[in-house]
Amino acid sequence: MATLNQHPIRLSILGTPKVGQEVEIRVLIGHPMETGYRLGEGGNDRIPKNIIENIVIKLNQQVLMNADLGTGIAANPLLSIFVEVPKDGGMISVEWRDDLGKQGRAEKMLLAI
Amino acid sequence: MRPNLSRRLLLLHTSWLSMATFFSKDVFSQSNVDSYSQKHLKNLNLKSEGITIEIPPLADTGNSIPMSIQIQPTSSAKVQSFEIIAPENPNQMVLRVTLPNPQKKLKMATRIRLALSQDVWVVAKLDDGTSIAQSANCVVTLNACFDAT
Repeated sequence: MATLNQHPIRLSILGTPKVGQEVEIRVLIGHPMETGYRLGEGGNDRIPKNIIENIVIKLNQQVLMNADLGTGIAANPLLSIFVEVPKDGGMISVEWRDDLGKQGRAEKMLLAI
Repeated sequence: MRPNLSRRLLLLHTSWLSMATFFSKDVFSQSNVDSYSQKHLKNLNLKSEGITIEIPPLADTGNSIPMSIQIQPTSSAKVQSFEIIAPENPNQMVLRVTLPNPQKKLKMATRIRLALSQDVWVVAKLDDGTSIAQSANCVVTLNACFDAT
């Protein structure tokens, strides 16, 4: 299905968000992650490099994880981390930036029970 | 004929400058290790306790290999940062994760590309200044990065 969003992002929370227990936060970004080593049609031209360089995952505006990605991360990068649910839950936000300057972000509420 | 000293000096200085920029690779400025070669990582002789790597021993394609890591240091130290290194890849640094608040236990998963069959390394830096490292072998039948698929 065609989408207006060139780089869709999915942020999901897996597991029961009980206070003090761990939940999985999964980030999936639709991005080609071109390494710059692949050849295009006819095998003449190299497809230019275009990778996500940085992903920051925050919980309540506090940085949980700052990830620098190389070309060794597969296309449509998936990052999954396990975090402990804080007492009042919070807002999980993800921001990414690629080497062409494109950016994206997503937010999801983590409701503690 | 009198040699043009200023020109020679200029050439000398610029050659040193270019060599200095060549050797000061930016990737290592933030890294936990000085070199990403397999030999260097083995020679570091870092402790491997506390890191568990889950990676398929045989993968059909190197383009997307699921990998999960658990780091739980046996000492009281906390995890500050870690790197996934694939020494045989054209760009060896696969992922570098920094945790502003060091954690006692870290679990994460991702999907990586491997250019060749190789040992994949995880080098973690702890907040007491020590490092731990673990490697896992993965055989790929179809290589990533070098083909034109």
